[in-house]
Amino acid sequence: MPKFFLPFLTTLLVIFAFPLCSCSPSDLDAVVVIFRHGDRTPIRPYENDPYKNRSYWPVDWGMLTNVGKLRHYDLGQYFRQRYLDFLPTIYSEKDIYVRSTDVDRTLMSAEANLAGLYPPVNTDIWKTGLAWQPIPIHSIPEKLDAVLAAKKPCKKYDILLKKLFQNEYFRNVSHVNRDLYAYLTKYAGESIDNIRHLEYLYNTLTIETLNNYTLPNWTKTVFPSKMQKWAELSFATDTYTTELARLKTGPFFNELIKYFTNRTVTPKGARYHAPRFVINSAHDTTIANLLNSIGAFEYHCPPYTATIIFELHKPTDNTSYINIFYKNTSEAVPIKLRNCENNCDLKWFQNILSPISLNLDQWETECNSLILFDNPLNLYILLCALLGAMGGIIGLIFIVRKNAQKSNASMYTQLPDEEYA
Amino acid sequence: MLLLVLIVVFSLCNDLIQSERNPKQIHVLFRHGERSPTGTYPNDPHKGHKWEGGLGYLTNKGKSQMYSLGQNVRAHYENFLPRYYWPAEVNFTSSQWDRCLMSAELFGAGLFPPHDFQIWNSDVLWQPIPVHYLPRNLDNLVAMKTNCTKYDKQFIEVQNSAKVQQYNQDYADLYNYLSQHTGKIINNIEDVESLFNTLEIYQLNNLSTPYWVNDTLMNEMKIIAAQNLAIYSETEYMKKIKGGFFLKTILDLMETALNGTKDVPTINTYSGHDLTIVHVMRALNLIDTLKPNFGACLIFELYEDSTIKVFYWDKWNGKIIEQILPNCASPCTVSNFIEGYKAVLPVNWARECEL
Repeated sequence: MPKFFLPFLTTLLVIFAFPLCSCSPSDLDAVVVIFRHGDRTPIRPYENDPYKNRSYWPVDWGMLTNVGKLRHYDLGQYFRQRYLDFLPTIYSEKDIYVRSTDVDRTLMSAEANLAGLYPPVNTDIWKTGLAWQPIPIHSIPEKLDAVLAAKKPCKKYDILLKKLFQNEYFRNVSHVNRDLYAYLTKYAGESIDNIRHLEYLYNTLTIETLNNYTLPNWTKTVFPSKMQKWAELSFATDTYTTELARLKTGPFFNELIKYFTNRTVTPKGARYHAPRFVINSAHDTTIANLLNSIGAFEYHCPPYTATIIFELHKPTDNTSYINIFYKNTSEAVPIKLRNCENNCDLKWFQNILSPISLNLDQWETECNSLILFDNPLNLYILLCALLGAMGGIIGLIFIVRKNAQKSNASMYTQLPDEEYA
Repeated sequence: MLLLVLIVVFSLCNDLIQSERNPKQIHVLFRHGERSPTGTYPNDPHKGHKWEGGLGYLTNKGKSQMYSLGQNVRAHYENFLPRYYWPAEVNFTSSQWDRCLMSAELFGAGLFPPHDFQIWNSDVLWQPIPVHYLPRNLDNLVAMKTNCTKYDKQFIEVQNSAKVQQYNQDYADLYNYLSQHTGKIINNIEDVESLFNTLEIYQLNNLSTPYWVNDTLMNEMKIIAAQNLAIYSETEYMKKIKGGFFLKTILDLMETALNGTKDVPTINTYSGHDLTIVHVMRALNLIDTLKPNFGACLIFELYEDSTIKVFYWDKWNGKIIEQILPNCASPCTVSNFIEGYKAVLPVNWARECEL
């Protein structure tokens, strides 16, 4: 056999012996998606809103509209196509876990999405002529939810966020915007004095535009032009610093890593510990917060059904890598993290997340811990308090000792036998 | 003369309106639909049976039943229920178990099929309806499994009570018989109940039952299953902690609706278990023992004049029977209800659980 033929044969052998190489989608092992709900009505119209009468809207404030339902149904169909070979078409709780924040529009979005993902086929058909089947959606009340809704109260987070807006940059933002705020306050008829209020108004105006309502003339000079940049910045504020990100999205990422790791350690072909597909139904802030926490947030307002996709691949028992995508249009675009473009090692991803990832117990402890040393003023106050306390103690000891001497002295004046009287 | 006719006609109409008057608010508590077994036994011939949807999940029959229950409730309240689903008017609460969450979705699908402008997708004549629930350890209302120290202590006392010991004495032979045939030790009424549940599901799905099972045995086991469900609310205190909390919650909603202080949903539904229904009906002193069917349904109606009516549907397509509340003086108004059931209405649930 000629010598040059050998490498060729080897290559051929490799190709035929391992038809399921890492380039094939069949080593896909787990998928976690997180999306924003579909189209909704404004959460709250502004004071001078010409469309503040409920009759302008098909459903109550902040509720999912028919367009929103359909948009999620379509996204469900997109998932079905994307994961046709990965996710069985017959529903089983062993394959999929669906979680939502405990809000009507996200719960309904998840339901509409599942109608697109799991149209009943075969044994799932329970009623002829109805292309829907019930699938449980899990949630916990927002005030208890530190993972997805991230609305569970956290003292330390609130303090840190308040401080953020007092820093030089955000003070400057307020300064730069003082005319804009004054203008908006005047015409909206309610106080707009920070970028969060501004974003609320921006959001309402966006929805009204999407619904083909003519905006009042005063908006022409500011919407979207002048407002857009600040509305987008507002989405970055929740996780602006590592400390903020840690308390806002740390529990979610901790759970994500744990879930992927558990799947990775499961031997191939063995019974899986957890469903292979996890859906999270949430909000624009959730999307922005998660992206920003991993340094992948390009400033924008996450649109309806914006989706982050985490895909875990497991080519062999001991290797696993992940790909992350962001889908805010029809295409899912890969997210590049720091020095990894794609097929990033799971351990590497875990390392990237280690500064922010924390479990719920740690989260609870950190939320309730006092912040003392992060600012010179606090340190100064603490020092004064310590000095004061020390002075007090010294003073107290002095007084006690003096009194003790006094009482000792007086004891000697007592008659020796009176003690036993 | 004309005036007289007018008066007669008017009073007749008035009577008609009176007899067909609509409630102001309703509360619908139901047991989930038919499910697959959650347990089996060593000699079970159907151990390996492949159930649609997996173990403990609704069967397709169960799905249809819950959808039909929704349709039947809609038909019963045709003049009262709004044609369109508005989230502010309706609340769907469930126990955290998947079969209850799914039952709630199905019940909602039957109760509010989309019409006209609410049809969002002509391929799917269904609309999404949100279902809310509390985690098991916080759910006093539907799952009724929240930790309660004082209750747990009383429950242990009940398990050691003369009554339960008498049960065990009376059923000793039966326990033996069942243990022998199932290959599993059965030595209390709870074991009998679990076995009954599994065998009942086989019967409902036309799966053959072994030779040692017959109708007499099934009837006896059903009675014992009902006795087991009842011991969880044996004492007045236990009734207060379980079903009483449910009653207290719906009474608060009724009072709020009457006072008009806050907008509360007109239609309130609760997707629970057989035990949930037993807890509530025992708190009301409506039953001693009962083993509710799949899709059984208990409805509370509140009227503008503050009267309350209670109905029980024994299954998804069952007969609707009005229940006369023994402790509520006629006319059964909210205040008479509260007065009559004072003993089982918790004031501060958490505190009442402290030892």
